[in-house]
Amino acid sequence: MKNIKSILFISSLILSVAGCEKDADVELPEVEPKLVIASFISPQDTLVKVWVRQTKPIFKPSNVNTSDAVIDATVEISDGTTSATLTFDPSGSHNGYYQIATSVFPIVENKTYSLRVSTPDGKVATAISLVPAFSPVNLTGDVNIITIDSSATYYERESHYTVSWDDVAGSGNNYRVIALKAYYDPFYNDTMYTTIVDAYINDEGKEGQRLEYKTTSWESSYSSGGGGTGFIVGYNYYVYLVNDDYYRYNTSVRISGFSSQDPFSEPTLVYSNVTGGLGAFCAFNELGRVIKR
Amino acid sequence: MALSFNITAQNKFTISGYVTEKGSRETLPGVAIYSAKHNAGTTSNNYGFYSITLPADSIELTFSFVGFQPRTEKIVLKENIKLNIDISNNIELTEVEISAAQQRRISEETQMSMIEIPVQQVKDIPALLGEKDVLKVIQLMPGVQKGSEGSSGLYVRGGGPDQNLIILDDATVYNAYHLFGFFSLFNGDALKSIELTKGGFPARYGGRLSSVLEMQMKDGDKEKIHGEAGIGIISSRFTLEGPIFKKKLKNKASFLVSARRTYIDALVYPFLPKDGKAGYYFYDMNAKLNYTLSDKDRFFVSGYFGKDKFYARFEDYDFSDEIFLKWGNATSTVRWNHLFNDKLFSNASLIFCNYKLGIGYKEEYKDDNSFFKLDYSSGIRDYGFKYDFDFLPNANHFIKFGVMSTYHRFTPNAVVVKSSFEFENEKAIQAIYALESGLYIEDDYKVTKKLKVNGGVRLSHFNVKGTNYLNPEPRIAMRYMLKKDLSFKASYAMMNQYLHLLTGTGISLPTDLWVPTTKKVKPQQSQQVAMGFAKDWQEKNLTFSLEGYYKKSERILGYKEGASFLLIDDLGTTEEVKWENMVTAGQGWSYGAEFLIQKKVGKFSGWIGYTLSWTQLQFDSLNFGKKYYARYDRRHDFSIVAIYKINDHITLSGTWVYGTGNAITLPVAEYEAIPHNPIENNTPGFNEYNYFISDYGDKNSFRMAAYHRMDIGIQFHKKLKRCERTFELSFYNLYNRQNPFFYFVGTSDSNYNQRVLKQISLFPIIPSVSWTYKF
Repeated sequence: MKNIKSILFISSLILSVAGCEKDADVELPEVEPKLVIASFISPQDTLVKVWVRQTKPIFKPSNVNTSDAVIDATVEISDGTTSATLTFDPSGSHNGYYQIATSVFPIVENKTYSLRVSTPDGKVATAISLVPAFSPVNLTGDVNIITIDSSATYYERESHYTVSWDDVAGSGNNYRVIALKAYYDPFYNDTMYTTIVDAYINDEGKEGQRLEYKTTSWESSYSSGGGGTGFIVGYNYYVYLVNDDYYRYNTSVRISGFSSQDPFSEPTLVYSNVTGGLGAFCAFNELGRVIKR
Repeated sequence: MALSFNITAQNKFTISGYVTEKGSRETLPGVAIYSAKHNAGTTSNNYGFYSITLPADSIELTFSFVGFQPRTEKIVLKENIKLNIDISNNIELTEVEISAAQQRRISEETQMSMIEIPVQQVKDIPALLGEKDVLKVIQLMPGVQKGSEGSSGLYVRGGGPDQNLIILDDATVYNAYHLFGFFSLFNGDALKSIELTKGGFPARYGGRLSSVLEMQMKDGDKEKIHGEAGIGIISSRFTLEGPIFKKKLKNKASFLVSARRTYIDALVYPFLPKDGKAGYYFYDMNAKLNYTLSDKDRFFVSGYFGKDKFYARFEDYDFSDEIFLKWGNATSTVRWNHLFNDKLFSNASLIFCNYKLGIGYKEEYKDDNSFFKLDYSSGIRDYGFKYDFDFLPNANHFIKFGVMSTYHRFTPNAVVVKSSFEFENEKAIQAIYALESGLYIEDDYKVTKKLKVNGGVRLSHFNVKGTNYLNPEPRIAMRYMLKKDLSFKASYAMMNQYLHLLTGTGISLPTDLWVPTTKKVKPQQSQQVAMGFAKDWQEKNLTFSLEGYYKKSERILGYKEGASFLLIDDLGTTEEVKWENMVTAGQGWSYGAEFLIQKKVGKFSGWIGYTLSWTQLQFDSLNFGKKYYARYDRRHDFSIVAIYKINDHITLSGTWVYGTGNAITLPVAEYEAIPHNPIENNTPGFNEYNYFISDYGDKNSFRMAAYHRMDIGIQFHKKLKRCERTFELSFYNLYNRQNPFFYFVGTSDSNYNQRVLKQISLFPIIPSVSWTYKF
């Protein structure tokens, strides 16, 4: 399929090169930089983190750097009764974030939190998000390995993974399922992980029932990341109950990265629940994790 | 001599028969038959049959048709009469003589929102690369827009190219385009009539929301063999028609064959290097046979077959591979006209259609004869049956009723893998069967001298995999004569569409998927109200119409964001995504006004059309549920077409079109979006990087620059010894306007750090020449 897509892409390029290129003679929209927020809160995290950046206008000259954090913003989080101001930590990931410890400002399930980001030059961005709640879900994660071929120097096998849990009350629940394979890497002399799966599923059609996520991977001794059965240390399974904002933002960001290579699809609009800006303020709740060694 | 009769106890008799063209005996649809004395008239149907019931009297019956010499017959009516008439296609007639006749007047008819294009005009209007195209001429009419530069897609009253029912001799044509949408399938040489209905649909039409384009092929000259051959820059074509066994069958049978093919690829092929060949070609063929058994029975067999193929081959001493993209339609119809009596005419048709799109890849290793073949195809195959009746009980009613049923076989995505390694063989063909049927009745009823109403209902039904949909569709149209040549018209029509065309919104490719309504994907529906005025200026041979319309569509389909026509694995699962999960349903509003002034005959002919329209869409899962303008929402659409016959030898023609730019989604800013990584510990290879995102603002919130273009053409006709030769020189885009085909973000030539919006235009000024020989 990829071959065919690239061939079609090339032929469409040929068609376009055949035409004449020039500067477009049309009035262009001129915009100002906007605030871009990213924040994902959950009851399990030790820190509330908020990343604040800016958009860079395309057609207007601007010295905004899209990977720089905005360091002079005032970031406040509130649960309706109490609020707190976050402080900027430049050593945080992605060039720094605003943070506050959850021991100071706890994140509780079933509560709606609001975020307000403002900058000295007058930009204001706000967003709200509801932390989803659940009752015990009896999470299990397992792998069934079927060996296809094995000899002293070579093996080939199929691993069938199953993660299951009870659907949380209510309809329209979205979950993020992550399965990792832990293996020992002699080069780093440490346990490393490869991702088996990172997917979203919802409970449509199966509300209130036991949900199951299955996936299969095929491995051989040539596979990277833990080749050789002797090296595998174990498996980690995680399931998160994510709210609607989380689901729409993270999946649209992922799809936009994928489809930008495909010239035959409409540009995907990335989801945002931020008023006065872009990005998203999301919430999730870890249903549980199964660590198998 | 007038005989006096008691008006209330008059006997009425029927005059019926066929109207044909003198010489070729080609039947003529839409001929106006009129008795001035009784202020009663009718028109000949699609097969040239007419029937008019009048009181016993001495009558003058006039037969008239655009471009033909009118003919008046004096009849003393005292019994039912069979009267077959032939009229002359007389081009030498002066304008004064033509206008003296009672032509079919647009103000007279109940049908509104309908455009008729005389086939001859299609041949006279200059075209891209000299390739005369029926659909491109239709795009020049008000209410019809094209999607993008060079494309033949029809966007009628805010509906997309999937909402048009295109019929050739009763058979549905699913993908009406050659060369990635630049040219249509229809060879003007083989056609007899072209009619586009945009609204006020009579009950006999159904199955698509926005328009019906009905084309009839010529039957073939029953008198003598003649033909036409032509060569242009893109393709060469050939048409031959004539009688079959003229003496034995006494001029009752004839045939028509018309074919076209591109030839550049054949010329270039031998010069390409052996190791790398690529090319593109298309061909199509129309064929028809007809036989008139008796006055009561006629038989027709017609067919169309066409194909497009783009290929690229690479060959080495030990390896060869080929990729191709091909698509094609094949249709055939068998029809039987039967006259039950002089008031009841019927036509039964058996129809077969097949459309298939294929994308393939093949590789071969010569040393061990191993090979690998991947074929992806998408198609639809129909077996259909239609039985239509025309019943004219008296001069005030023209009743049509009938039934139709089509058995569809859809294969929206079929993948076949064949390999010399057995384990790679795979066949995944998902065939869906469906039955689409319709039952209708309509009556064109002359209520009073001034008021005529066409009322009808269509009952449409669709069955697929145990799910049934049954929808009654009321249709009503009326015409009220305000003055002798001026009428007011209004109509309402409800349409249902059970077949859907999924078109990618990127670059236009023939990769459109035809899919059926299913339990999950419901039928699309539209309701349209239209109102307007129609005026004839008989002395000047002009017709004028002004119409406003409002159309609301429900459950229209679009692709979900991020979906593409090719099967892609859903991110995160290993299941193949079924097409039902790639589409989403929404609603549409389109409304506007259309103005047309048209002159169909004369030394100077043509039209001026203007459309002011709005088209908005709303899908819950697109643009975050907000209403947005459709890509093809073009506020103003203006076209002028002029054809001037300077003398018998020279014809000059020109067109000028103007349209507001398309609505597109344009990035205005960029940013980096941080996705969430919930795992805190050591996970190399986990998504740590950011996504570089464009901020587009709302969907389709940016307008491309306006499109305008002028084409001119000049034809030189010369009578040679055995044939007539026409040489045409034409210019497409005469003043070389660089109309944007698409935009992209590039860097400024003067400052590399500054981004600018750039455009790609497709066609600069393009001259072309063509030769046609008529013998």
